[in-house]
Amino acid sequence: MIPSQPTFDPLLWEALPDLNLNIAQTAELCGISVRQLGYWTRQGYVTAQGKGTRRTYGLEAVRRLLAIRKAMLSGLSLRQALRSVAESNSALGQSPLSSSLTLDSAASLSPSDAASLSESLQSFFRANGRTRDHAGGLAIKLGRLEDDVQVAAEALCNAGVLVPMLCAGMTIYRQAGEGNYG
Amino acid sequence: MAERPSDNSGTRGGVDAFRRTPTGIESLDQLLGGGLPDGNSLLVQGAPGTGKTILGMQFLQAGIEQFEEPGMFVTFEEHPRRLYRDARALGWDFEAHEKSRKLLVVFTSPEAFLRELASDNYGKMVREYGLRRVVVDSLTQFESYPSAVEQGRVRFERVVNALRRDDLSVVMTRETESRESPFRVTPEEYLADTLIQLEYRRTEETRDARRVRILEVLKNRGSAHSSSAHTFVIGMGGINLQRSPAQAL
Repeated sequence: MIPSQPTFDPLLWEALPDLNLNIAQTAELCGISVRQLGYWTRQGYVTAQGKGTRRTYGLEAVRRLLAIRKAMLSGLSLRQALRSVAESNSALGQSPLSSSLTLDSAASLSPSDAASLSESLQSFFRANGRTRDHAGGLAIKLGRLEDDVQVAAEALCNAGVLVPMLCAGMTIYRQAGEGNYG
Repeated sequence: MAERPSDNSGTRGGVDAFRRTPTGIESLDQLLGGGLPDGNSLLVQGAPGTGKTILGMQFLQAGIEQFEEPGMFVTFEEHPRRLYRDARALGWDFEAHEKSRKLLVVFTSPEAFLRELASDNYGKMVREYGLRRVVVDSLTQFESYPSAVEQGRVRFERVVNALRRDDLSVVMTRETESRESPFRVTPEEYLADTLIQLEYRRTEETRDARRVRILEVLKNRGSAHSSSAHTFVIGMGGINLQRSPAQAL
C-alpha cells in the first residue's frame, strides 16, 4: 500500500540543521518502509551515516527521500523519480546528492542479461533508424521491462549511440546521427 | 510532375476552396471533387484489414512520385520494416524514398509523439526535409493511453493543430469495429474535416459469401463530395475504386 504523500513544513527545515534520525524514524517521516529505505541506502540512492542498524540520516537525506517519494506518488517509477530529482538538483545548480547514484546500480538484470538487452536495443534502433521513443514505449516494442530498458538506454546514451531528448518532462531517445532532430 | 488540380466545386470559400491536395487515388479524388481541400485533415476509419494504412501509404507515395511532395509516416505499432515490405508488395519502394530523403518513417509511441509535437522537434524535420504530407497511423493507439487531464477530443485537436502549424496535409487512421451509429459521433469524426469510412460488406451480388471492400466519403468540409458507397480492390499500385456507385448494398 502506498502511504499518503508526506508533507513537511519548509520552515521546519531551517529549525532542524542537526537532524539525525535512525532508519525507523526516517522511514516513518518519509512514508516508506524500513526495508525500502535500507535497499535505497545500499543502492546509493540516499546517503546515511554509520552502518547497519546504527545508520542515521541527516537533513539532506530526508529532503532527498521526500523528493523521491513525492515524484513516485505523482506516478513516476523509482528510476524516473531518481532521474527527476537528479535533474531538479542539476537545474538548481546543486550537485547530485549522491554521486554514487549510478543508473546501472539499480538494474534488475544480471550483467549478461543487461548486455543482451543492450544489444537488442541497439539492433532495434539500427533496424528502425527513425525511432523516437521513451523507455516505456521502447519497452513495449521490445517486450521488456521499462526500468531495464531505461538503464540500457542510458548506458547507450553515455556511449554516444543514443541521444536523450527531454520533452515536457519525458526523456525520449533517438539514434545519434544525421537527420534526427531534438 | 503532375499538377495539383484546382476546381470550382468548393461550397465554402473559407478553406481555400480552389486548391486541392490529390490523395493519389484518382477515383477517390473524383469523389472528393478533385482532391482533399487544402488545409483539410483526413480521417480514414475502418475495421482491421480494410485498407486504412494502405490508403495512408498511397497518399505519401503519390505525393512523392507525382507531386514532388516529401512526406512522413508516423507509426505507433507497425514496425517500419513491415511497412517497407507491405509497400514493396504494392510496388512502392519506401526504403529508396527514405534514402533519397523524400520520406521519413518515424516509429514512436503516442506519449512521445504528443510531447515532441509540443516542442519543435517535428517542425525541425518538416523544414529540413521540406515535408508536405504526413500520415499518423493510428489514432486508436492514443486510446491505449488514457489521461485524466486530457480527453480524446483535446488530444486529437492538439495533434491536428500542431501538424497544421507546419502547413502539412494530414491523414490519420482510426480503427473502428463497424460504421459508427449517427447517434454516436466520436470527437475524431466530429473534428476531422474529411471523413472516409472503409468497410467490408456482403452484397446481393456476392452470394458466395465473399465480402467486398467499400469506401464511403462521409464528410468533406468545404467541398461537395459523392454520397454513395463505392467498392474497391487492393492490388499492385494500391487502392483502386472499381465503380461508382456500388450496386445493391
